[in-house]
Amino acid sequence: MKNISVGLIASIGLFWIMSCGKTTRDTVDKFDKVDFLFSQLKQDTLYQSYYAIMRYSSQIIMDNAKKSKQNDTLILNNKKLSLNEKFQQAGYSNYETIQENTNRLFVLYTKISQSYPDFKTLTDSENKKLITLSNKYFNKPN
Amino acid sequence: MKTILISLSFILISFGGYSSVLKPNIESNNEPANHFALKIPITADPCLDAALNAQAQAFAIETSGWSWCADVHSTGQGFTDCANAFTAMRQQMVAYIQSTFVPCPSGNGNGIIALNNSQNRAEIGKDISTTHFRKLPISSAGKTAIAG
Repeated sequence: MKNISVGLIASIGLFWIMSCGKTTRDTVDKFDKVDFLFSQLKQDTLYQSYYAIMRYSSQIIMDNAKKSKQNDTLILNNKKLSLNEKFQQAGYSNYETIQENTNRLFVLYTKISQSYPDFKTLTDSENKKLITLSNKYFNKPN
Repeated sequence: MKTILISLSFILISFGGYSSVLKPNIESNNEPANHFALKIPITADPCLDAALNAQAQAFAIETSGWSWCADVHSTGQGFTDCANAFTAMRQQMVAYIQSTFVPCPSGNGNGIIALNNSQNRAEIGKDISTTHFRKLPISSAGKTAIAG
């Protein structure tokens, strides 16, 4: 009986050590990457511009979406149409602004990626977290 | 002794379950996926339709960006890097759009939080004018980017 209990306690101890180590590694790998990146990005004027332009474009898109019609999806998914033609056929406004903003976003994205290589390796869920953090930080009341 | 053993076994089983909850969620990276079209389900909810349409526009911008990347970059790596940038932009715009989505009853009837647009844009304009992206050289390629 003693041997069994000693063995069991040793197994639990080993499992404990392994699981704690694994949990810490998971936390560092999965969660802190975006937190750490955002702690740097939020101070960076390039990222501040990037976020502001991204938000502006999204707002235009949402304004267009409010006047969307049932057939718009077919137009937006049509591979033969350019973005300009899609906007025209769907009756959306501010195409020029969207285009200009996208150009700026691309330039800024490239510059930010050069300074922060992690920025361009973010997954979909990590990008989502980055935007959530940015929303909270940049939209907080003064 | 029996009680101790039973308690320890219980702890062990509990930790086993906890550890599986903490399993990392492995996801693929920003590789351009085969999603040139966003399939939008037919819904009876106009609020959801508006939110989905906004996301479809973000996808349309992304695919337009990919077309530009294909025109500009002849090498595989150049295209991949370029396309990944547009994919990341789309992911971020979709994340932003989703963060503003609320259902019809409280969403002012359009599914998207009714922001004070004029105030919002004035704020954004201020943000943009105080930062230095205007000083960035925008390449001639960049100027024609996303022409569709």
